[in-house]
Amino acid sequence: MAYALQRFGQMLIIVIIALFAVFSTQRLAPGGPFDGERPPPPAILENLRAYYDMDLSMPAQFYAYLFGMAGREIEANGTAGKAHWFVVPKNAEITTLGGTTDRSTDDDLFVRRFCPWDQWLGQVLPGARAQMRENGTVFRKCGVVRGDFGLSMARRSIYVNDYVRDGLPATLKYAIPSLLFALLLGVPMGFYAAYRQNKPADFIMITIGMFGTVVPNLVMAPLLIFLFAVQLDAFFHWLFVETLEWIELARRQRTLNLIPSGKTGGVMHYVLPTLVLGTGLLGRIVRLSRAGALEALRSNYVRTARAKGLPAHVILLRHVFKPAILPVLTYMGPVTAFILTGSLVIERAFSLPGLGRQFIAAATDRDYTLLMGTTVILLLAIILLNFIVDLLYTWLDPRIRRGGGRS
Amino acid sequence: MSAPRTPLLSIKDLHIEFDTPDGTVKAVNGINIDLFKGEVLGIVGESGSGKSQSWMATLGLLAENASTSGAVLFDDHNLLNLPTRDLNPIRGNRIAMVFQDPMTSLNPYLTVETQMIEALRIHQKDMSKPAARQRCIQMLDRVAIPDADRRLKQFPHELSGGMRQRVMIALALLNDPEILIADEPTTALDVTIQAEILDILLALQPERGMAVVFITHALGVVAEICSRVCVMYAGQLAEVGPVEDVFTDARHPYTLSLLKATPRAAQDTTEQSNEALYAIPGAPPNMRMPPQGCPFEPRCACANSECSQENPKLEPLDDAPERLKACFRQQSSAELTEALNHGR
Repeated sequence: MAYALQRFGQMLIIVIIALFAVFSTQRLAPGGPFDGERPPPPAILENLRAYYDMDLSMPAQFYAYLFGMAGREIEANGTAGKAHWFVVPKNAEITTLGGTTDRSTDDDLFVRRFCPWDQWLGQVLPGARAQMRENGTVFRKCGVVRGDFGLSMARRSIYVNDYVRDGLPATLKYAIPSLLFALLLGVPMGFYAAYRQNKPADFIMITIGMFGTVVPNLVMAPLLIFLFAVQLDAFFHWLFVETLEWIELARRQRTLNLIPSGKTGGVMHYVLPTLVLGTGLLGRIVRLSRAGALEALRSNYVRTARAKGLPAHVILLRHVFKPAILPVLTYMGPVTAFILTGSLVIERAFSLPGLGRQFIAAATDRDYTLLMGTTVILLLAIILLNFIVDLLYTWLDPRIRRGGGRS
Repeated sequence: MSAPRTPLLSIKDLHIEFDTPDGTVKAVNGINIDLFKGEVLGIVGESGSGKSQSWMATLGLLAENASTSGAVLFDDHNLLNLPTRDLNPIRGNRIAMVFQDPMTSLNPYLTVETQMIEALRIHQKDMSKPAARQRCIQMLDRVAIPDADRRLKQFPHELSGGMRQRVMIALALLNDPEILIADEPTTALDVTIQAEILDILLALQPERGMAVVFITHALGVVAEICSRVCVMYAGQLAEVGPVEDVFTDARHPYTLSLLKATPRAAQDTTEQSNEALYAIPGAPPNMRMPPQGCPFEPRCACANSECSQENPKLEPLDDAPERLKACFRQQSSAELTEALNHGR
């Protein structure tokens, strides 16, 4: 338990460091979200930059990003369904720290809160807050720490949170099946290959695994689309409609579309994306579990187990499984990164909505907030998975569990 | 010796070869060993003499790249070509083995309890878990492990080396085997623990009437606990016989050299000398290309031309038929020692 807490603390520190790294590198890179072919007029640009806190110093921007300094009215009726920012009614009186008084005159009013680096920026004072409450305004805080990633910079009416909320499940819908596919197929394959080391079965398993690893998603995706979605359908059409003369089928639809090549819908729509991403993962998992199992099989304790007269399946499941699964488990951390890079290609190839697509869009548009949002989500996924892997590790390996005493 | 007894297990003309990328290693070249009920048989030899491998072969524990010929007869079975399915009821049940390295021979991922109980229940299918547990505790008590109940729940890394080897011995003895093969069980342990382990083995052996094969390169240990000894060199038997006879009146130059190379504390002050410890000159032959003649010939002080031409067979001594040796030299022990000293 103490170990879990300690690991959790480490996780938090890593998240903050990583956040800062991504935040500063993207802003230091040339170009910005508003540098289009036709840049907006200077006045609008100035407003835009202020709107996104980009007129602040870098540390102040980061602070604002984390703890949310800006508030703005989202919808005039105050429902503020999607708003995580605090809502200020029109004409609210805002007093800044400098002593001047502002009146919010348009929808895009923003109020800045105290920030240690830019003292002059001001804050919502108690009086203003009370007034807001009087007007029945919903007051909400914002910032990444409260789970608010802000507004997209390229599409200014859409929240990054909404992008993520729509994109993440879409990605998980094929990422999790492909991971399961790779694990449930790859681990037994690796074990079997190790058990039959240097025999034809071993060779076949390694070849299948290598094939999956070596052929990039970029090639695999169109290949499978061509084979399954195009050729197979053409074959079925030929078989059922032209040869067996199932006229009814021909009348209803031109092809069976058994394994579709894209878009979302039924389960079948996820077959090809899962296969493409899954085979990419498969090779690594076969190799890792094979290596792990081989090492365990060669170990002295497996020799002891054999000397006890245990049958092969007991040896494999009880004595080999745990040590052999550990390398695979370690790989489950980096696997998130693999799925991310895979998703970039797969979502394009199979016209799937998902984080990968948004990631590319965010990068090309210099959409800082969206890029941060997607990065943070993936970062959290990687860190969380690593955290789970670490906990599983301690559960699997008693030598870590009791804290030391390795032999 | 009394009338010829039937051996419990007999190794007949056993050959073991390992296929390696650099060629075939002929680890064991035609050895014959009979093991009788209730005896403690010592197997001594240098590292790489095939002493461990020949007994690994009896339990089918050789590496994947090994191939064997000959026979290991046990209870009308030839263990060498018995399929694993038929070998398993014998392994750990009628023939058990204790390995050299207690640090790695227990599975670090499983508790002592799991590893002991599985050994019991695989052979005694109707034994309940509590009964098996009880038996394990009993067995741990027998090998002098205090607080057995708690130890059972622990993982191997929580036990010391000596403790682990005792667990290994308890594990091997759980099913009351007829034969216990102890493959250098004390090599990895320090001297005081070695003595304890030997005491435990010595105490348990007569009480169970089992035959023990004790593989070691410590001649002192053999002298202490064994009744018969086989001296192995380069995958062959050099000399076989009762321990006292072989050690006091060795007839094979290799046995003599081994004995001479044993460090010992000076018996009295007058004997104290600054003489360096004797070492057999040269190195064992490369077993990828075993020599045509006697494998010990290049290092032997007593060899002549005959020795390099032909490999001597293991034959009974003229004056002591229960003893065997593989050497053309028919001199007495004293004469051979003389030659040895002179040759140096």
